[in-house]
Amino acid sequence: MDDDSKITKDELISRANAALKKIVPEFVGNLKERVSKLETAIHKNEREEAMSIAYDLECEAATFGWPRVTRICKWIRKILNGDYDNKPSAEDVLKTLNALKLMVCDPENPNEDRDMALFKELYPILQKSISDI
Amino acid sequence: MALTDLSNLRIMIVDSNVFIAKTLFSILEAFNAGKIIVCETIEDAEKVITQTNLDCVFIDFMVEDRRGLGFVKTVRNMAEGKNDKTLPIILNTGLTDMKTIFMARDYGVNEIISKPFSPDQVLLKLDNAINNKREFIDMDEFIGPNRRRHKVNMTDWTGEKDRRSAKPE
Repeated sequence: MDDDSKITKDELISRANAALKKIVPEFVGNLKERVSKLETAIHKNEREEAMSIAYDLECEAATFGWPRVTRICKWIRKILNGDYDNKPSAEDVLKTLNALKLMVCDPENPNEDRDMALFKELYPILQKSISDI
Repeated sequence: MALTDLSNLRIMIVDSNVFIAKTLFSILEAFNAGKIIVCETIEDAEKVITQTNLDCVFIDFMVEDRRGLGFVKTVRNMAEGKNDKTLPIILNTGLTDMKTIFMARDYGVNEIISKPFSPDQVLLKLDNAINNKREFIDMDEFIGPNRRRHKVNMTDWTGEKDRRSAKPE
């Protein structure tokens, strides 16, 4: 057993990060399905359901290494809540959803370069509706 | 000194999002927290605070349709028992707009941790809530930790006339 009296803050954080790594597969395992449910809820105009899925994804994704999913889901949640500077066009919402779907299409093998390029392209669209996203 | 020994801490997590609760549990377990209790409902959490000594509570803002702050109010108004109204409470929320933050502060939360969180943020907020407690205010209008985080650093007046103590003319 470890002598916890000698443990430093950095060691504690390192232990916690290792513990989080063990949960990553659980998050990644249903990421694609959750995004698909989000898309369905948006298309069916089930606002509360869509907001709930977007909020949960927003609150979880960055912890498990998916910061762009968090940002995009935050944008979607705020748009659905009417919390925007300019109402986005349907086309912009569709572009955002498509980018999100592409980012999570193969979550076990994330493509960092592709996702970064996608987000860079998407960002002006997101910012047009919510300036401080 | 930063909080590094959590082995004596009894912590309750209240979150209806099972996955977020599990994530927080894993972080606290890795920190070697002494006891971690997870409640999915406010009702369960209210039972636990009357039955178990706790050192800190993490509660989700959105639990049961935004009833997280209602739980904070319950704690701040409770009579002394297993726990008292000064019990440190950390609010977890993905909503970080000023309105939510001011509302949380006015309900008497000690700390707010924004989701998605990372282990270093969890440790920092826990350390603040437990080791850097602010003066506890218990008045009709407000019960909770002092809402002013910073002490105003004013030195004693050394001039001829101190206007702060002067009576209006």
